[in-house]
Amino acid sequence: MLGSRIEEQERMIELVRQGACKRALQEMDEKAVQKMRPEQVSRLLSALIPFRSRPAREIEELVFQNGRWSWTEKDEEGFWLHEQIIRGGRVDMAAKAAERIRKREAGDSGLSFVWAELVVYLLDKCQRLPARNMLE
Amino acid sequence: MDEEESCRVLESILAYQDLELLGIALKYTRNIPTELLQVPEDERENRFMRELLNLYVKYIDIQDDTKRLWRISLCCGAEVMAERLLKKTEDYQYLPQIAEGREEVFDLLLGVPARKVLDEVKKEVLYSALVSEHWKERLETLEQKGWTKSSRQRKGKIQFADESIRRLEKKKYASDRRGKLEQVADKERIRFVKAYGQE
Repeated sequence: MLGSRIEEQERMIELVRQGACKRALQEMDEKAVQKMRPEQVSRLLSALIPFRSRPAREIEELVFQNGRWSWTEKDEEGFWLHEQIIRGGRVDMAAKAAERIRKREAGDSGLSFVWAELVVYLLDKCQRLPARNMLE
Repeated sequence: MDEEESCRVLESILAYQDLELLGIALKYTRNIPTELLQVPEDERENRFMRELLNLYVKYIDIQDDTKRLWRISLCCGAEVMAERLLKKTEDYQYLPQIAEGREEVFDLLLGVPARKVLDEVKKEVLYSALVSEHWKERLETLEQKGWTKSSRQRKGKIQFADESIRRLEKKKYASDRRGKLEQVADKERIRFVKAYGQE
């Protein structure tokens, strides 16, 4: 049962990676995202970075609202999730992700480097409000 | 958050020139390293730096790089920081620049006991006041506060007239209207100083 669920989740990630975001969206809902493990959510977000289509953005929304992701998941090239977002030039994604990494939690969980790099990136891109929220 | 990370965040906020964000960040960084402060290059940077130095004076360690802090404070006219530096370091070599600075900066001179300042420095202060925009009022104020009295000879007066005239006469002016106006103003200064020298 669990095995098939994981397989299903991996299939979704693969669909997004291949650019079949519309199909992935049809098969995805809030609960499916909530059930995903943080490493999988990270990989899903990572797969979404190159895509800016409407279905891709809807998946993003689903993930940002319902998912819990791991900041310490690296891609094949060894980049952290936040580095992938920055490299992909996804200011919008960084701003949304930033809502979930406030100063205090970042410090407590050893993620201060992620926090600092995202604040610097957002300020560099003149995203004052998300940067301000992160600083609070 | 380690020091390097907080430095990077502060550096970005300073580049973004946002005092509110800086205020939030200072709640946990508690310090602005002097090396992050840049000498302002335009009016916007000038205003930002002045507000920053006046508002967050306590968060800057003045022992860090006093020379740099003096330079930045005088460049942007941050009177609160300049006052703190003056109190802590008693660096009287900066008094001439204070005499030439913004009105709020000039007022710092009034808190310095003139008798403690060397005659040579006083001469420079008087010359700087003379070349400032509000020179008449400034020289008058300085005279009232005893800046024209010699520290060496009691009842003696600082002889700054000849040297000031020489320096003013050496000045080069642009050939435009602004240069002409400046030249006229300097001639008035020379007349005033000559009268002072004959007193």
